[in-house]
Amino acid sequence: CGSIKTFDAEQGQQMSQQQRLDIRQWNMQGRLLIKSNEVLTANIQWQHNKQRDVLKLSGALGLGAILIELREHEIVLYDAHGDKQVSQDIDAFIARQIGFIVPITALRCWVLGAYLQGVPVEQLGNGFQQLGWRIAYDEYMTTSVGVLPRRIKVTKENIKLKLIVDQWEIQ
Amino acid sequence: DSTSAQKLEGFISRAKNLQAEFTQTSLDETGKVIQSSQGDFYLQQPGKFRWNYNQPYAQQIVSKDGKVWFYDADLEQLIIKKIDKSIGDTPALLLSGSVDLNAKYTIVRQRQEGDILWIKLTPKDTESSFKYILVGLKSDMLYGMELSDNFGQLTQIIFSNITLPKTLAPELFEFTAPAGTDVFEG
Repeated sequence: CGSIKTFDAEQGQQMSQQQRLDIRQWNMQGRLLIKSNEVLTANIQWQHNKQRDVLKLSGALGLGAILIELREHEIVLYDAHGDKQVSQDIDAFIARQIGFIVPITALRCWVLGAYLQGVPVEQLGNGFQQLGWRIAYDEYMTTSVGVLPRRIKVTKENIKLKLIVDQWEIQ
Repeated sequence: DSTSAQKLEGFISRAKNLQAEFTQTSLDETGKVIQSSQGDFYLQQPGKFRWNYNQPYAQQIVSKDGKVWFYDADLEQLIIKKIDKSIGDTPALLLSGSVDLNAKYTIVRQRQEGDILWIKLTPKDTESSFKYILVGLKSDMLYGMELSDNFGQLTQIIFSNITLPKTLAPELFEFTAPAGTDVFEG
């Protein structure tokens, strides 16, 4: 996220901006819901470090697992049959897969409770508005480095993402 | 080999109704436990089953008449899909007696671990949602299941307190969503 500016919701305050900026490496496990005219749910395992993000999405019993590798300007998708697809246009690629754009690169910051630096942001009650998306933090959880989001809603027009974090692992 | 197939089919023919607790463990390619969950499993032939995940979060998966109800309490979402559109031949289905095992799977003996016989079923349909599934039988009773995904992650399910009751309440294979749940039928 480059330099992350923190958003200081009540519970979020215990996480100082510098602490969030210092989170260079994290793993997260949770459950994701993507809703528009179609509804998709998946278990998600997300590993982030400076070089790349690796997201594994799978159904119950680990069925139908897909792997997404996200670098600065490239996305690689390995599907459930091991076929590989690569694209330099991340948002367009995601839109082709599920039919609409999901701000996956911005999510790297939003999941931490931080908004993108250098991009207009409008503070709102339990979150903020950025890039046309409304991000709301309904619940937090304590982690080894401080309080991080547990229940996140990201919405724009008829698209709604719900992310429940079951586990944060901060290196 | 035929003896493994016969043993599995023998168990399935006896398991008209089955009730068990289960522990599900996901292991990464290095064998490290990524997640563990517990719950209750119900099976009624033909074609009905219910997974109640109780820990660490509440999820229910019910299947009946070729449909699957998937409910997640935290996400407040119920998704109803036809079985073939959801995740195809889900593992529980192959235990529910509504699948011709020999037609759909190559069945071989994988290994004998003490008194547990692990039987390997490899789907003949390459589009199947899993590469293979291992079913463990302990003195001819269901013991566990094991699946691996394309990336080396293993999902192991171990059943306990297994009973084969005469009947199971029909409501077990119905699903009514709590108030406030968003319902999507796809």
